[in-house]
Amino acid sequence: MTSGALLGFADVAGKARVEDVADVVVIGSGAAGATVARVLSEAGVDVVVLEEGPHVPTASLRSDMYTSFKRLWRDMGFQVAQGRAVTPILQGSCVGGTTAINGAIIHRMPEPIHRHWREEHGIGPLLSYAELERIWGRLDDELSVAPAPDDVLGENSALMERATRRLGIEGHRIRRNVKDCQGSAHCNQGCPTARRQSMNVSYVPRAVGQGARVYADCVARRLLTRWGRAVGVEGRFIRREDGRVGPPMRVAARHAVVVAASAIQTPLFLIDNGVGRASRVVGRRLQAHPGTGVVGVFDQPVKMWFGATQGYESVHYWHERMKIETVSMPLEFGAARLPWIGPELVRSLATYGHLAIWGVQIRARAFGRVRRGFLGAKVIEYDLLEEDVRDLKLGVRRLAEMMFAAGAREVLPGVHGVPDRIRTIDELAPLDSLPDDPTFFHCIAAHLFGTARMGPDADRSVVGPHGEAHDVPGLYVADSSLFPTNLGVNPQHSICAVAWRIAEGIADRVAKT
Amino acid sequence: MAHLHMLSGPELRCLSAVFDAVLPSGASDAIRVGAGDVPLDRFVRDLLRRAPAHFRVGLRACIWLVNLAPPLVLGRWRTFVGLTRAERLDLLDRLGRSSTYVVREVPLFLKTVACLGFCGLPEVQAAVGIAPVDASPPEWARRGLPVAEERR
Repeated sequence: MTSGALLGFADVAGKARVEDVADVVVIGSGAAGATVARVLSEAGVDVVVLEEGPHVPTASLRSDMYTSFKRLWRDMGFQVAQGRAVTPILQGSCVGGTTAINGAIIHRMPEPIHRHWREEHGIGPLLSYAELERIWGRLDDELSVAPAPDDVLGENSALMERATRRLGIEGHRIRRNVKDCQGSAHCNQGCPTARRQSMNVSYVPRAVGQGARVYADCVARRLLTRWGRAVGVEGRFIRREDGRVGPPMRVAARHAVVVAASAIQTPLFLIDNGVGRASRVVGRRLQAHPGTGVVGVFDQPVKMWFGATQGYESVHYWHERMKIETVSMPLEFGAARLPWIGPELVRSLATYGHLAIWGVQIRARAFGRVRRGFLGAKVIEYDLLEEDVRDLKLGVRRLAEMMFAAGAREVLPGVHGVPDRIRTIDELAPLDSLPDDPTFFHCIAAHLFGTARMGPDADRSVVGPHGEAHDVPGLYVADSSLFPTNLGVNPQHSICAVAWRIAEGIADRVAKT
Repeated sequence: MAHLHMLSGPELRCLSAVFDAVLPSGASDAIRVGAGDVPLDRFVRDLLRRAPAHFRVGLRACIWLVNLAPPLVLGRWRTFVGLTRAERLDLLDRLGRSSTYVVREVPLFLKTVACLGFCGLPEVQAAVGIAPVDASPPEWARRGLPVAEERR
């Protein structure tokens, strides 16, 4: 077995070029890429992983969001989609990908979604629900998935628990991939105690332990092909903190190249390399879960800085395309979310310990697009449909009702055209007469799907039922790009399970050759 | 090309004035410091060195829109920097309530940038009651004692 390693810019800076050879080259080290590396390396397959972002050791993490933005987040947290409204698109860009900055929420793909994929999009037996359930069980064990416990639930989540009981609606502790959570509420800054089992502390080191080489700070650019088959990847080391350019990288792949760089970066890599051109759907059909938040002001202390960042949720309205959850925001995010400026903003910051923030994410119908723009710049286009905006309105109303049910003295709806603060639900009436226009809301989108969709038909999909590109043998997509639609729940577990199955398929083929 | 990442003197003065209006000093007994008491100019320099191009363009556009808005919004033939503190606040508030999406996003965007720097300071977080906080300030504020102290 080759000895594994996690290397970054500093390890290769003096070299003229870096070359490696592996059975499989994986692009991306997030939920999909790290899972593929874990499965393949434990099946005895030699793996190299290329990760564009840096490796940030737990000991060097900080509490402030700006430092986290610089080191862990894509485009420093300023990646946006253009439409009538500008929508921040939140993604990690580091070893571990978005799993290193997300709220650790674990869900299995809802069965109705899987049924829809099977019946309408031709998802084959590789991804049968029974197979996915088998893998979810493994993932649950290996990533320490369990409901948020009492001692670190935090008051923000306890208040939502109270609201759901009073209103008689479904609610439950969020199942999280955290081992012995300390309740630091720092999920978005990178877990300071390495308790969250994000890929950078779970599957990446596990794969390295099995011989995988992980190259951080390495941007994959060119797909190498021979006789039309994927045989490797070329890229370059770039240190993000100062833009310094390092040596070129070339990795030859004996069996396969797996792209697992997210529903934004994967289609760009495919477009840049002319993959899936015939289907005319690469980068198109982008779907997301846009969400918005509502603030509640309570007489008692809430102290969002203690407890699980996201500890409680309700899927009571899932069939109406919405999911409600707690979001204990860092002060920097929460301050920007408050409706005031000047002395009133500063005074409200002083009472930050009495604020609760909850969010609604919707299973939007809208389709967007990822493409190259002027001078090769990344362009993300995404615009909510009128029906989606109506769902948002309903979601904001429900959040406000729940806040009052939990005992909020005031609610700050955060919607243009609605009072900054309301003391009764009746004061929310202007919400209903607003146009169905996304510019009245402040949304973010964190779950992205569909830009290199899977399907049996090469004219309408980019990859086949095993994740292999229709037009480039040996090239696989393993992330949520291949999901035909969005899910309505947080996708990490589904991404891991699908990637796992694709990796098992690759391992079988490697074993047969 | 490094200069393209930097703000000009007038741009920086305008941005400082916006930050000062958004997060003034002495507005609360709990949070005595304001944006003018901490080296947010260093924060902005650090931010612009690393931020993506669309962010830099957007920030500049917002600064100029705010700086040139007083005649149109308040009927005052001044730049934003030439306004009193109360007028600055009034102007930002009016922009934030505009019926035009792009216009009302301007003060929100500038406020978001201000809060990203200011609210990440351990002294501000401690004043809010957050515990524990980082033992040292972020890198941009390391030399960082309040600007007023450095000048003394």
